[in-house]
Amino acid sequence: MIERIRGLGRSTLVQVGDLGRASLLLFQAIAGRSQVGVHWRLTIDQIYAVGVLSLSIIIVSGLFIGMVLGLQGYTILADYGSEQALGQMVALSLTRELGPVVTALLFAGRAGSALTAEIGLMKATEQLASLEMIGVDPLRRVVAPRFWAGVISLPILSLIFVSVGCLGGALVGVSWLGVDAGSFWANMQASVDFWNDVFNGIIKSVVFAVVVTWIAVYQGYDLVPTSEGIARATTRTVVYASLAVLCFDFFLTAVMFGEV
Amino acid sequence: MPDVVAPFVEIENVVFRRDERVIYEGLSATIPRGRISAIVGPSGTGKTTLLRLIGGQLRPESGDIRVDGISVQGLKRDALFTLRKRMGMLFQSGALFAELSVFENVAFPLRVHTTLDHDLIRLVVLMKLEAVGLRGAVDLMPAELSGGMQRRVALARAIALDPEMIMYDEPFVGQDPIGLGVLLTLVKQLNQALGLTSVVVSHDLQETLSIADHVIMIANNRVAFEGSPADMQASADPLVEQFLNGRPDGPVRFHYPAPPISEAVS
Amino acid sequence: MYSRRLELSVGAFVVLGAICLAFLALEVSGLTQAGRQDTYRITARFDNVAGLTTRAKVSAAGVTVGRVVGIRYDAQTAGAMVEMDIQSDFDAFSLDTTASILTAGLLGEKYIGLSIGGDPDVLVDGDVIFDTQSAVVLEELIGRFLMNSGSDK
Repeated sequence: MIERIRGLGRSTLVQVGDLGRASLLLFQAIAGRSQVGVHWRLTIDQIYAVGVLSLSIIIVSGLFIGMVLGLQGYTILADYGSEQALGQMVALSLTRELGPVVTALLFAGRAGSALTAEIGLMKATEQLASLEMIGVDPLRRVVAPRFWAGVISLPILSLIFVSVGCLGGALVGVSWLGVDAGSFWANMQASVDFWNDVFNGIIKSVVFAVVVTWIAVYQGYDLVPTSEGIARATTRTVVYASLAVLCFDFFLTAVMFGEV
Repeated sequence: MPDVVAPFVEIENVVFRRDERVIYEGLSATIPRGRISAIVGPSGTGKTTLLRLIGGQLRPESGDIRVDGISVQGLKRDALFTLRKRMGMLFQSGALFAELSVFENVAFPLRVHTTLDHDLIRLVVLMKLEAVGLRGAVDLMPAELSGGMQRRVALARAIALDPEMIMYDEPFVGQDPIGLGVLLTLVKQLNQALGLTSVVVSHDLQETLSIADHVIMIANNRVAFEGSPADMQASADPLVEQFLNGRPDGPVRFHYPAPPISEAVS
Repeated sequence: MYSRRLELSVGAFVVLGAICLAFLALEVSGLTQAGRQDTYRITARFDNVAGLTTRAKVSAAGVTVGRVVGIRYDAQTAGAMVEMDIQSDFDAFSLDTTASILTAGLLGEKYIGLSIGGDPDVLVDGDVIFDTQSAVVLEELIGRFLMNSGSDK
């Protein structure tokens, strides 16, 4: 029993220590002066790697999720004879929940794991140490551009996901199942509020972006530089980031939509 | 050989621990200016760690490390980065930046630390690559080079800023005899032509001793021997003797510390 | 190294994001119609607002003219005060306008309908409507119907 309590205490200390190191990493990476010109180009490179290269998976998943929502929503709403509310249902679920959350989960799997592996490999091949010896701070040179690229890319991906999803819902609802196009879009416009729904969704997405990218770069920077260590850290990135997204989603939803 | 050379690096009474494991317990050594010093010793004694301590990438628990009179462990981040411009380091794997070409790799320190214009940078890079015999590989990517060539490119990068000291971390590992000969010659040439203080960490004993002016042997958490290669060969110390002749058992035990086997099996 | 294609694709990526934002704003949330226009606030007192929520629409003759922004209990009149933001374009509601809580369809959401009276003076910011018709509570309605049919026998 005593041993168990002791173990609990020890693991708590390790967790708190991890959190402290992760915060320090983030702070050192993004605070302080940096050569804006050089780093801006690096950030653009990284936006390409984490954003542009994630486009296909985001568009395809967005389309299918929108179509599934259209199909499922139609069968349920048709029971109450209110098919015309389909647009409202599809758009609200996408803007408020599914858009930011699913995009963040896909992003953690596609881009987060790649970030961890890439930084981990740079550590394992001594590229980070080599940067240090050349007199360049790897936090600012390697970590900061990747962090910013993630924070910029994820909200954009999320917007694309939601838009494609709405179109997918319309495709199934209007073109295939015969919901009236006018009432589909009118209902959607009447119920979706830009500031309350779309904008709050964007805020969620920004929060998820910070959390996911932070976890990914920290896991990469802090891993044990062996092939086993990289494999483990990559897995941890996906697991931790996904859990963190779902957990933060609950709290953000409670704060944003709880009172209405 | 004149023994009175001003030291470039002085290491005094350094204690260093990684987690609970003691790496150094009161280690002291000096690295003479403008000479080739070899750091040798059994595997796992933390020879690479010593280089990282000198470069300020690790900090000792106590003791003092001075590079050209400046205490490394007390330096702030910015001052440390300034000091590092005066040292080059060649990592075991070469550590070239995989996404940059050979040219960009060597140009990297110049771009970061100097305001030289494009043509001048090109000139310097080609000169450095010429020095390591790889000017023809300037437009290749690191992945297209063999291990030995990668190390030579990394060497060109390490000397791009004309450092005063260069540290080689296991430069000879995994080299065929020709590659090894090339690297040995390069280390020696760079030392003579540029007056570079050179530190070579290696366990390829004979090769290293053939070019070294000064040897530091590390074993059992401290310096076991320091002096010229000739003195080392003549040393009567059982530890040095065991190491030089490669005997499996001696002061460095063959068996990892354990209770007697009679207890373990009964 | 920094190829033109890479920069172009990143630029296209950001533009795509902006287009999607515009799409969501205009097509999905209809920001142009219900956007951040100038509004004025009037309040209506109801006996019962059961089921009405903030952000419910306010309509006149079936046209959306504003939104409900607040609902609170007023102890003095023992009723519910509903605050509505009405778009400034619609500034010709007479002083004797009545407000009623209506339901979209049988089970649809509640909204407020305004019907204009004949008074020459118009409602302005801060005015209160007391002439109102409360929400129809389905349970009461059913209860009354059952009682009536019982007494008829």
